[in-house]
Amino acid sequence: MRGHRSVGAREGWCALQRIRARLGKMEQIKWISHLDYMRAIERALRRSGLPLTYTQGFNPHPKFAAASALAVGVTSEGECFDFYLERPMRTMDFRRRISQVLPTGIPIFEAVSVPLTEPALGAVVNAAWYTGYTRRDPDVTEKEVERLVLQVLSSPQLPVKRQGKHGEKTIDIRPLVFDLKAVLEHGDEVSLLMWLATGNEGSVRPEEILRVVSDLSFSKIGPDFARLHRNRLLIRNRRGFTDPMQPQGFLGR
Amino acid sequence: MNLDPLLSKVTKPARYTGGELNSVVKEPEGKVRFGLAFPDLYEVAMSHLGTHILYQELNRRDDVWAERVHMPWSDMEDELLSRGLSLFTLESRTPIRELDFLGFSLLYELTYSNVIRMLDLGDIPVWAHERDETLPLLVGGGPCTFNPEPLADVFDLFVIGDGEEVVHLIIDEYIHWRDRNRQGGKRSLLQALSRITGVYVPSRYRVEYGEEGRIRRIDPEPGASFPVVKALVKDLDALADPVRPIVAFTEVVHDRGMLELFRGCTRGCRFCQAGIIYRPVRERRRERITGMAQQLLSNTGYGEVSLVSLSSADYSGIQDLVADLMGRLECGRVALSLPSLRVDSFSLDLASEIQRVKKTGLTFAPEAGTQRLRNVINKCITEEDILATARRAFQAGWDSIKLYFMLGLPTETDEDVLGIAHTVSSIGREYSKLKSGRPKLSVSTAVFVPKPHTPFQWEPQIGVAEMQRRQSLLADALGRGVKYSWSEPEQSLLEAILSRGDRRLGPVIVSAARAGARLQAWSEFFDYGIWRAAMESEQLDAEFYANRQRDRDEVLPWDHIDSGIGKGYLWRERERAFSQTTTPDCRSGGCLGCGVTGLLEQERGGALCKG
Repeated sequence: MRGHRSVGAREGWCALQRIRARLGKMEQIKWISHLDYMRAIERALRRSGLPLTYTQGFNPHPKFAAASALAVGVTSEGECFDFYLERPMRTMDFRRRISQVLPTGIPIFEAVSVPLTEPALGAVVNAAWYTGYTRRDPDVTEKEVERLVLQVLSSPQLPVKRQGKHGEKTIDIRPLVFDLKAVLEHGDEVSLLMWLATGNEGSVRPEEILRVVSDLSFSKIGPDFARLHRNRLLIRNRRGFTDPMQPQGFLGR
Repeated sequence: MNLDPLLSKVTKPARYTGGELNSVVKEPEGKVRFGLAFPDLYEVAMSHLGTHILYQELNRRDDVWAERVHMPWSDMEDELLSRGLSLFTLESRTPIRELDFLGFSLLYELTYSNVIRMLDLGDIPVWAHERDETLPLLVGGGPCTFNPEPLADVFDLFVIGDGEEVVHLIIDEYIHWRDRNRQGGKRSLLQALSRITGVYVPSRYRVEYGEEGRIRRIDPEPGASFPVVKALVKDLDALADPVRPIVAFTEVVHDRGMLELFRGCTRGCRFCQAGIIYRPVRERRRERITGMAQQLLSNTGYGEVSLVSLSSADYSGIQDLVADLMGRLECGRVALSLPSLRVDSFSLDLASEIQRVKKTGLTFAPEAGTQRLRNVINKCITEEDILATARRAFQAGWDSIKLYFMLGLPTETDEDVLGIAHTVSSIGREYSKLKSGRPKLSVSTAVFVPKPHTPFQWEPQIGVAEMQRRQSLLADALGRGVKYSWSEPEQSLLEAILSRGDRRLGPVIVSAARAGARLQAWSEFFDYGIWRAAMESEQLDAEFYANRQRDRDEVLPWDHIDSGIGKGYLWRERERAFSQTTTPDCRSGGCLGCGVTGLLEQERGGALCKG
């Protein structure tokens, strides 16, 4: 397998290919935890017979890594994973074979090959795009929701209270809110599109944004989500957002 | 039904949502709708092999849809109650009263009140005679059905013994009845069902009580079999392989594939009910097991397979089997485990072979602390066996050993209790001879609960105060270096009351359940006060059930239930216990005439009995 570099040799495992895939977490399984979701994928990998790299040691398991944990009760079509293979294979074959074994509720949408040297997903993914659906008073207008969104985005600060280990503390989430849009839906619903920070350098929960919007609207909107969906995980840098499925060293599909 | 508002408020919502790998969804039209009900939490149910077996057995049929329903945790139960929602099945969210069958697995007496609460949550009348044929037929199965009398007036029928074959006969009979316009109503269906071997229809038997509350006689109605003989699957290999179990998303108690090597055990421990009611020993063939292992793994993706049975090291050719499995299970990427280990070096070598990589804790069950008491209970291991096994375990790299004992066994004295501490400190000394530092030793004691169909079925349980005294005697003797855990005395008392109870306890269970007794197997919910009050209002006495020495000729509440093992054999074993005489395993010695051959239409000690 000339031309491929292997990684992980120091930790006792050795991979020759890294495949990045985007998976979903659909309605019927949205109540399982992130850990449960990971274990369901691990068991699917074991069933697949794919040439996965296994970790060494007492309890060998297939080597794969998630970009970011998803909260319980939230659906998603944007969960990114890196899978490490001990033999290279075509991404379309990988996608076909893994879709045969993934349980109902976990679809695979795309798979790309990325260089083994690419930084870990967890280290680069720092943003997420969510859509939340919530109720509204029937008389709320398009103009009104646009104004609310503008009001949030133009606030210099957005202090929210969070429960920490040592009691409640207030933090400013404004720097962690990248963009917002609101769309009036049929019936008594409004959808809120949110681009928020996630990951090691801080994250915002979509519920916190809804709470702010709800308060500003004097409860004409919200205060609870009826449904919450993660559309994508993203990499945000100086030039804007990029898709982790198309990293810099993108090798092809 | 949108459950989101509900599920967002409860802990571990995935307990209630289903949709797991290998769960089955069918078109309901025309199917017999069977609810496999488990009166404990989802994660306990999903660790129960019997539930997985029956689920697959029933869903193999095109004319049946088996779904699951469990006892909800308190938060979910409260949400259902406050919203006026019925308990529903996981697969189709059907309210349980719309099912044709509701089959409860009865594994532990402390879950009985959950049965009642589940029926209440499903708006189903709890007394069998109050339910007509439009409501689900209530079936009980599992080891507790060897004395189901406390629930006799709640259930329509019980399946005594192995369920895999009987359940098909029951469904066939039901369909036959249903397709003839339910002719003769529920009563005629129950009569037909009671002709199936292993089916016990309690309403066909009348219990008459005599002086001091003892049973005078048990009368079958004309045509009802007496006794009711348990169902027996003679050849496990003739069954469809249960290799497609549901794989829970959430972490369950036993998160691994289960492979049943054999059923039954002939070691003859005198306290052990499982050792009697699952006789005779029936082994699966080795090739069958290895084939099942591979299918199980490819159907589930589990990283671990557990070889289950009552005493897995007793499987004939266990070493070959283990070697075979280790070779096949994908270059060591799947772990094997042996949950029930004997205290001997053979078992230990097997364990080290299997757990080459994963050195988790090691667990042994000497059960009693002195040779004398071990002879009484026929646990045929010596102090030297225990020490030699411990020594070998330490040499093989284990540093932690967990030991199970019982307190309150018949004839137990303080010397026997202190013998436990003595054994444990001897194990500690073995460690010091080999290694520096200290081993991690933990001791766990359960209070002995006399069980029906055992040689100790006539014996009293010790009182609660005495349980506490012996527990603290042991705790003091063990000292600080050993971790000691013990069972809640009043839970053991309740288990003793219910396990040898009669029909008069039915109203006690119902009124306790309605007075708030839920999830009683969980210590955070257990409340003996509720039970005491319920017993008092029925004018029943705990001591009568738990702490009384029964006579040899007393009619026992389960006398009409035939496990295949004769009462005469049990009494003989009881006599041998009190003279501290051990009885060898009939697989190595000769046939002891326990009576199980009567179920096999074969001579004493025939092929099946030899295992």
